[in-house]
Amino acid sequence: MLFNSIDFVVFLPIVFFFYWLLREKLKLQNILIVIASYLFYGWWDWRFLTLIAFSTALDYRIGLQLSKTDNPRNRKLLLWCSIVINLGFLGFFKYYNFFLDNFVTAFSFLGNPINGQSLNIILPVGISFYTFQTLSYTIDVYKRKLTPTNDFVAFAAFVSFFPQLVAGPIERATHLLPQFYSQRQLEYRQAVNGLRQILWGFFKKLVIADNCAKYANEIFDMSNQYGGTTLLLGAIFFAFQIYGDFSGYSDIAIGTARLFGFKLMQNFAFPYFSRDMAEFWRRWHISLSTWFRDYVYIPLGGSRVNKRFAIRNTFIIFIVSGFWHGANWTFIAWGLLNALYFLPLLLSGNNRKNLNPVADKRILPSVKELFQIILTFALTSLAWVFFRAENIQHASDYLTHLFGGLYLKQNLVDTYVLIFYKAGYLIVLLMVFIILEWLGRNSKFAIEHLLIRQNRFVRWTFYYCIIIVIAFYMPTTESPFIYFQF
Amino acid sequence: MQKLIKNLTIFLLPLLIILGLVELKSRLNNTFYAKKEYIDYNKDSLEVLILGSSQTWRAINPKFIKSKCAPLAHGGSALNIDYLLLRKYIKELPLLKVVLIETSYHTLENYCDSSWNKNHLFYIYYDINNYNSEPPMKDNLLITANFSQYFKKFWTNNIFPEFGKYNKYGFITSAIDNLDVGKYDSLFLAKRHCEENIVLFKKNARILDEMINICLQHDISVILFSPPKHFNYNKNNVLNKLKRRNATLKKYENVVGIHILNLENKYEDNIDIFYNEDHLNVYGAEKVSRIVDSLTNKIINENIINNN
Repeated sequence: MLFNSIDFVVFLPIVFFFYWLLREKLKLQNILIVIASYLFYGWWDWRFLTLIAFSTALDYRIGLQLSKTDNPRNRKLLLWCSIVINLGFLGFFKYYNFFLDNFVTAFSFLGNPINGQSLNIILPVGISFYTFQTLSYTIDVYKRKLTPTNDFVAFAAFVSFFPQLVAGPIERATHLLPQFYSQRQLEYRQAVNGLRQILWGFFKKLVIADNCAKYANEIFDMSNQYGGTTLLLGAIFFAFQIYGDFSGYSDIAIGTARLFGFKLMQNFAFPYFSRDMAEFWRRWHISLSTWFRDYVYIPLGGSRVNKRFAIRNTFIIFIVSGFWHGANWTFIAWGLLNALYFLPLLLSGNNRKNLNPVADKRILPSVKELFQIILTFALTSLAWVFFRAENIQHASDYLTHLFGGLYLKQNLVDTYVLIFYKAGYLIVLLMVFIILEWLGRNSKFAIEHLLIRQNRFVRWTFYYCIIIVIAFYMPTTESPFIYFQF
Repeated sequence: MQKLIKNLTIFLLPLLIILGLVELKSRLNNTFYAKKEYIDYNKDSLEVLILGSSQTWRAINPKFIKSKCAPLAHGGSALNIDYLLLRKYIKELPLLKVVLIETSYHTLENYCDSSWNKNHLFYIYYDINNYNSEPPMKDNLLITANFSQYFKKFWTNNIFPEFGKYNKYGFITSAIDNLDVGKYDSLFLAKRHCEENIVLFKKNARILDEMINICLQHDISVILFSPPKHFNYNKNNVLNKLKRRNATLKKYENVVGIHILNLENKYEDNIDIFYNEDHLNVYGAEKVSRIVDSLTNKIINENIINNN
C-alpha cells in the first residue's frame, strides 16, 4: 500500500480508531499492529508476507537461543545462522542476477564463455530495510546490549511495524522494541505534531519529489539530446527529487508512528544545508548511516586505526552502502565517489568540524557558509548522477555532456525555454521549499515549530495553503516512492 | 482523544465541504455529462452515432449536422472503447442509421488498457467497464479517481469560465485559435503517434471488423472517417504504419453499407482551420461537419429510397 494512495487514506483512520479503542489492552494493540502491518504489506503482494514471517520467526527463535547459552562458539554459530539466512534471502532476491550477469561477462572476457540463466525475480518491497532491522536485533542480543524478548507478538510488531516497514527509518531493536512493551498514550500535542509531520511529508513527496521527477526523468532519459545547462538542471532536479521522495516518506512514517504513540528516529536532518560531506552523511539517511557505522565500520576498527586501515574502512563502508541501494555498478560508483569526497576530511582530521547547526542563532548564513553549502550540494548532485543513471556509460555520457556543453549558447537558450515555458512553477516551488526548510532547520522537520506561537487562524491558514498547493501540484497518477526498490 | 477528534473535524470540515463541491460541480460540468444528457434526452430520435478520439471529437460539431447525432468521440479514446460504446448504444438508439467510426492514421495502433486514466469517466457516465474486473471503489467518485485533475479543473473553470467551454453536444467551442507552429509543444504534437505496434494493429483490425459486422447486421451504414491533419503532422507519419491503415481501409472500399471519408490530407496546408497539429479548431470543425452532414444525409436518403 502506498502512503500516497486513496487506500491508505481509508486504512489509516480505521486502524487508528480500533487501535485506540483497545488502549488499555497492550497485547491486543500489538496484535492489531501485526495484522494491520501484514495487510499493509500484503496489499502489494501477499506472497512475500511469508518472507517477513519467516525472518521474524527465525530471529525471535535465535534471540531466545542466544539467551540460553553462554558458550561463545554456539553463540557465534547462532549469530552467523541469522546473518547468513537473512542476507541469503536479500542476496538471492536482490543480487542473484547481478552476480550471475557479471560472472558470465567476466568469464566471456577471459575467453571462457559460460552459460548463465537469469531468473525473473521480483524484488520484495522493503526487503533491505526489514532485513537490517531484524539483523540489528540478533546482533544486539549477541553483543548482550539487549535482552531477548519472549513476547513473540511484540517482536513481530517490531519487525513489521507498517509505518516504517517498506522504507525505514531502519529502527534499532534497543530503541523501538521496548516501546511495544509499554502502555502507549495518545498525547494531543504528539498527535498534532505527527499530523503536521505527515502533512509536510506529503508536501515533500507529492509537490517537490513528483514534480522534480517529471523533468529529471525527461532529462535523464534523453540526456544525449540536451546540452550542459539543461543537464545541470536535471541533476539538481534529481537531487531534490530523491530528497523530497525519501525524506517525505520518512516524515510520513514518523508522523504516522506518532499517531500510534511511537517515537521513531529522525532519518533526515536538512542534509542539503551541510557544509561538508562528513556533515552531509551525518544528516542523510541517518538510520542507515548509523547502522553501517555501528555494525560494520566500528567492528572493522572505524577511524581509530592506522591510516591505511582507516582508508580501507572508509571505502568498505561507502561501497557497501552503495551496494545496499541496488544491484548495479552505478550504486557502487556512487558509493566510491562519496568515499573519495569523505576521505580528505578524514585524513585531515576535519570530518567532525561542523557539528554545530549551520548559521546558529542567525537568520542568514555567512558568505563562507553559503559557499560551503553550495559546494557540498554541487558535489552531492554530481554523485547523484551515478545513482540515477541506468548504467556507468550513461552516467559518464551525462557528465561529459554536462561539462562539455555548459557554455554553448544554444544550450542556454534551451534551458531558458525549459525554465520559462515548462518548469518555471517548479523553480518557484523549490525556492519556497528551501526557504521553509531553512527557517525550520533547527527542528526535527521544517514546519514543526513554524508559526507555532501564532494564533490558530494563522496556523490553520498556513496548513490550508500547504494542502491547496499539494492538491494543485500532486501528480494525476500515484507514483511509488523511489526507496521502495531498495 | 476527544480534543483531537474535535479539532481535526473542525479543521477538516471546510476541506470536506470543498471536496463535496468539487465532486458535485465536476460531475455536472464536463463534456461527458453534456454528451450523456443530450443522448439520454434525445434517445428516440438519434440517427447518427459518432465514435472516435479527440481528433474526431474536435472535427465534428453536431450543431451543423441535420440528422440528430449521438456525439461519443472522446479525447484519448481507442477502438476498444468505441467497441464497448457501440455495443451499448446500438441497443439503446432505435432510429440509429449511421455509425461513424474513426480510422485515423493512429487509430489501429492505439489501445486503452484497464489502467487508462479515463476509465472511471466511461464507467460513471456510460456504465462502460474497461477494467479487467470490477472497477476499483475509488473510481466511483471523480475526486477519488483523480483528485488533482478535478481539483485543478474546478478552480480553472471558476476563474477562467471561457476556458474549455462546450456546447450542449459536448463539443469544445472555445478552441478558436489558429495553429501556432512556433509553440513550444508543436514539435511534440507533430511527432506523436509515431510508435508502431503490430500486435495492437492486428487486435484493432479484428475489433474494427467486428464493429462493422455488428452495424451491418443491424442494417446500419458505416462511415470510416479520418479527420484532417496539418502537414507538420502528416509529414511525420511512419510509412509502414500508414500503409497498414490504408490496406485495412482498402478492404472495405467496395463493401455495401460502408463509406470511407478520408480527409487527412485534404486541408493540410490550411493553417487557419487547425487548433494544433492534429486537431481542428471550431472553424475547421464547421467545414468538416458540413461534409459529414452531406454524406450522412445522402446515406439516410438512399436508405429510405431503398427501403421504399
